[in-house]
Amino acid sequence: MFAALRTAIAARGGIADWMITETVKSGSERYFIGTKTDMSRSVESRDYRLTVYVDGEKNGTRFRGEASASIHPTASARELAAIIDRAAFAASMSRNPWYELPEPRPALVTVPMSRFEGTSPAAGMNAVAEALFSPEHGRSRINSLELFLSRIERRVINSRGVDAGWTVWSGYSEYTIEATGKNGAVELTDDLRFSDPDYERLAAELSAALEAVSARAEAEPTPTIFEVPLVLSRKHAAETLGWFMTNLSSPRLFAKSSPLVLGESVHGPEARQGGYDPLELTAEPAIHGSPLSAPFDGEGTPLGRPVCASLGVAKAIIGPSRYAQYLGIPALGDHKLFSVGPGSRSPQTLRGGPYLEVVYFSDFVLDPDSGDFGGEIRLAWYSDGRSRRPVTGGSVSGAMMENRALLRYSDRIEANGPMRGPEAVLLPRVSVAGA
Amino acid sequence: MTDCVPSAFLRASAETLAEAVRRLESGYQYISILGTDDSGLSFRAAPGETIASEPFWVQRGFVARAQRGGRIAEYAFNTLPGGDPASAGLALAERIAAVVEPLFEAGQEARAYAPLADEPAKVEHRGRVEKDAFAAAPGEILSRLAACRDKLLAAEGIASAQARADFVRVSRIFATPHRNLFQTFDWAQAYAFGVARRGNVAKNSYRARSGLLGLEILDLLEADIPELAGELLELLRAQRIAPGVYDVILDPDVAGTLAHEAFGHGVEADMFVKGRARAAEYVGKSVASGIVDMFDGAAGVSQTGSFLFDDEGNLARKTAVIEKGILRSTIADALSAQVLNMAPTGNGRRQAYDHKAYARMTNTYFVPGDSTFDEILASTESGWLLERLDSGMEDPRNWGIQLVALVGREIKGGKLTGTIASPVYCSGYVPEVLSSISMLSKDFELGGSGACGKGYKEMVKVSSGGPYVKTRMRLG
Repeated sequence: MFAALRTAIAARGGIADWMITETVKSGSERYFIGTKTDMSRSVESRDYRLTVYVDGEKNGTRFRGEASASIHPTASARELAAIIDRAAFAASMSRNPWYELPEPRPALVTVPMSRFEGTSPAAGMNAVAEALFSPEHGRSRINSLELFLSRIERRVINSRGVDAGWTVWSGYSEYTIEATGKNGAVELTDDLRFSDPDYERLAAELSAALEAVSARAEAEPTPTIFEVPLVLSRKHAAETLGWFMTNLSSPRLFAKSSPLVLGESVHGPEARQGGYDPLELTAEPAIHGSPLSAPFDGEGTPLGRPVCASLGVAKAIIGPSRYAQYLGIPALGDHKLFSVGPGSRSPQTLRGGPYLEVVYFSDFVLDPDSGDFGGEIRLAWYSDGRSRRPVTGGSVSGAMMENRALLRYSDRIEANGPMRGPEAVLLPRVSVAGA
Repeated sequence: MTDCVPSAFLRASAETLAEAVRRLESGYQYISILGTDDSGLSFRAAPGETIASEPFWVQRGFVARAQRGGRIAEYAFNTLPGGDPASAGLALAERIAAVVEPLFEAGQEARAYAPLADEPAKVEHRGRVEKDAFAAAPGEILSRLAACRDKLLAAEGIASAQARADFVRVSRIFATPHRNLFQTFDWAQAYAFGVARRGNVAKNSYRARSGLLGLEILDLLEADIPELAGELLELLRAQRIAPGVYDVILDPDVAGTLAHEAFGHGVEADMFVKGRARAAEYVGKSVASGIVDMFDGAAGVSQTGSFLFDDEGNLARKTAVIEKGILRSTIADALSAQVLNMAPTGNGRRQAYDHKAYARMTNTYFVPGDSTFDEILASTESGWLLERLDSGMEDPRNWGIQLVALVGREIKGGKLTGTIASPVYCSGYVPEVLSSISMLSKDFELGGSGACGKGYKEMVKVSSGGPYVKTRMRLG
């Protein structure tokens, strides 16, 4: 397909640059209801995406337009020509500031190959399923579980000579666990991602979820609480600190939708020394166990470990190369993962006074533009400073713009979703609507 | 009006698929192949740039479903063997058999279904649009979107703005030994987004349009821009709402999402099969105020959840979920329908050919009532008008509900006070919220600019809506 595309692009003419990405996927899926297999599936696909760049000039100023399109492996030569012609024509209609494509550069890091490599997805998932179904937890159990394991080869080439390829294993499970208690039958739904056969971690995550749903079965309605700090842990800690990562990206700075400014405090001008834990944030190419680990970004730019915030000050911006050029900053790549340094509080100290720790929301929403966040509470731990009890229902809301100068983090580091960082974050200014 | 142009690729593949099905028929209790060729165009005018690309929904591929010994296996693929239809069909049949055979052995214990139905049917559907976006000049679309963006950015206080339009042409073929279905239709969605900022405060909002539309959707979006600009600046003085239970009037978009999240997900038949639906205990019983009627269906209304047949080859229907407050029916995919001993309702849908089919909503809505909006407003002594849906989330087992509205307008003495809140988090216990519905307006609007997930994934295009709805909810 690469050769056919190169030939068709050359035949079209008028295309200044191009980029092609190839994704080859071989996947296995199994769906369980209780412990029984409900359906088994196999997926084999090969997808291409072509982006063409067309240049223009007006009054001595160079412009560049781009357009992208899917190229299906079943596309005929005639279809290819039509798709390329349509994309090139659409690209010629845009007059964006000119930028150049990434040039070939070697990888900056080595991402270890998954230990699934050498087996097939279908064979690999048997042991994963066994691990996920292994925990036993009294009165709670798995209601239903979906398991996906894929081997994915990615390759990016462009007209400037970039030719970057890598292979990832992507594992995913979404599951619903249930328990019966004084609240009757209750459930929680959660998911987990993995790229290695870390059976102990997978079993431990399921075990923790089973424990949580038992707590929800006994939870009391959330009281209306005034002036209680919110603790967000696990993936919600990653989502909260991910707001900084999101807003330290070049597309958002270029679009003026980010409230953060390079060289200024990410905690805002109102932050007072000692009143918060200064953010230490590094963009990461790889985190052990994450399917998002990759040596290159989607344009073939090699990914390093740029420090995006240090001592709470924005130091670097990540994102696609064109936006870096627009902003006149180094093109560091478009990272999907990040790490955050430890905070000043131990997990126990962070939870030393009264707090509300929401461990399961219906859907935690954190708006990247406004920084407003909140969600309905499915399971939280409420502590009055002496003892803690599970609560459910109601909602919590707040704003990053009101909390960023007061954030505290745990000093215990763990991997959660796209982040390796503090296991919990404390946000002091929130509003709680009781159930 | 112009006819939507069907996929030439699927037309050309039809004989190959039919041959493969014929070859496989004798070896399985059931065999089907769904072919998809959804093409699309996406145009975006962002600050300082315009970009042409493709919407999320573009796909081309196939999925074969086979049944043996009651077990179900599927193979998704996006390449076809070459050659004439007879030899390509034979090669495809051999490939499908080679992949699905081991799948029947996967796992120790498996659920067994009775043989799936394969009722004879041969139908074809071609949608129509006013102006074919696929034949339009990209430059015209980009310049109109850029004008929307620039009108927003011209307002002092609006820091960022963008406008986007997606045009999708859906083409599907479904083949079994006895069914031969083909459909082609276009849908479109267009958005304008803005971010207003003053000091440390930033607020965003949007306008969205959608439907089985072509280029004419841009006319609708352009008309929305002045109101959006005004709303963004208004939001800069938004307050935080004091937590509590309030009378609320939901605009059709927020109300439709209440229908979707509160009861739509809760009556998806696979939830019944898994024992996850509390609604299973309430079929035939009261779950809402007696003035509430709620429907779901790809047939009967025209929006982005409309189609002729679903991704399991079952024809679209319109299902009465709630009638006069009584829960009547679930919405079902083929497998769940069989377990529940009911007919499929045309709700078996996939995100794409390479995803599993589940029981999914289509167009979900409350039926209008007999009040005007002004009458509902005047009847509200103290409460909030909630507009501009941001998100919603279901809880089918425990009947919790979460809705997030970007705009809340305070009501006192039957009038809007001018006080505005953003965002507003709404929660409650579904039967309480639905039983508290006291008024429904005569209006009827469906919005299909969003997408619906199942759990954390499996996005499908849906619409929801209805009239303005007055009820009580917990806000925070």
